[in-house]
Amino acid sequence: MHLWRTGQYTATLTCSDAVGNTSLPTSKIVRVDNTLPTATLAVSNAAFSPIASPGAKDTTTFTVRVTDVTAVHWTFDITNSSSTIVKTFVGTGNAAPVWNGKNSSSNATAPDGLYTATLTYADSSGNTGATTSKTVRIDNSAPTATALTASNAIFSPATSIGIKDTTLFNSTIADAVTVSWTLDHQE
Amino acid sequence: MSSCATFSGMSNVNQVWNGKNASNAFVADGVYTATLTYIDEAGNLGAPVNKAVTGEQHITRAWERLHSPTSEHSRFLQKSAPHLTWKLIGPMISPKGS
Repeated sequence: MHLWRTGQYTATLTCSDAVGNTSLPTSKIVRVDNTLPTATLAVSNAAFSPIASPGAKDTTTFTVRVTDVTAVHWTFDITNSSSTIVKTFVGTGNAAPVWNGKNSSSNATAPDGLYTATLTYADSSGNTGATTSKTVRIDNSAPTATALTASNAIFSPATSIGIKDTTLFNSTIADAVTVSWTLDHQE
Repeated sequence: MSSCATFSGMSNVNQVWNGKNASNAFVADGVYTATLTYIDEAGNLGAPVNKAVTGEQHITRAWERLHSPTSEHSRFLQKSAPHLTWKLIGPMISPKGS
């Protein structure tokens, strides 16, 4: 079987009968597409808090970028840790669907936890690209910190070299995701 | 209240303060409150925690005076550093910069 290379082809049909009558030609343009589409998936907030901390990372945006000579149709499923689909987006071409943490069925906010967003897509010729996925976390819980301690409640930085020149602050911070902190000294 | 030194980091706090401000100068004697604020990757703020520390340079002055103690110096010690637990190490201790 001959495999045609990717490209545009014109098929022309002309009919002739036994006595030499010939029809006018009729033609149709077709495209052979053997190229698989490609896609990239990015996420704005790997962790977000749809309920807690209003105004701060309430949603996450997935950026879908597809490449193909034809239109690419995609489906975007977000599944929980039990592989149950909680949210589905569909679209064509490049897009940036925003997930507010709510599920598709009841419009309720999904519970805290890890979710996997998987992009499947196909071009107009039916070629399917390699799936790609991202993991995001819903986290509505504030971090906690143990009491701040100082190794030397009283210290003498400018005098008595070697004796209590500094003080070491310690606190243990707990959270499901990375926590950044600022320690500010005020007089 | 004015800020004199600020540190930042990720995860647990294990931060040394050498008593210097942002201009790399030693802060004046006094009580300083360290306030820890923190926020997670999802934008959730934790409850701030504080710790007061005292920057105190009078220990050496007290030691210097004890080198030739007088009743006045003893009164100075009692007045200026009643909250300190201290001990005389010996003559190897000298004020910084002297």
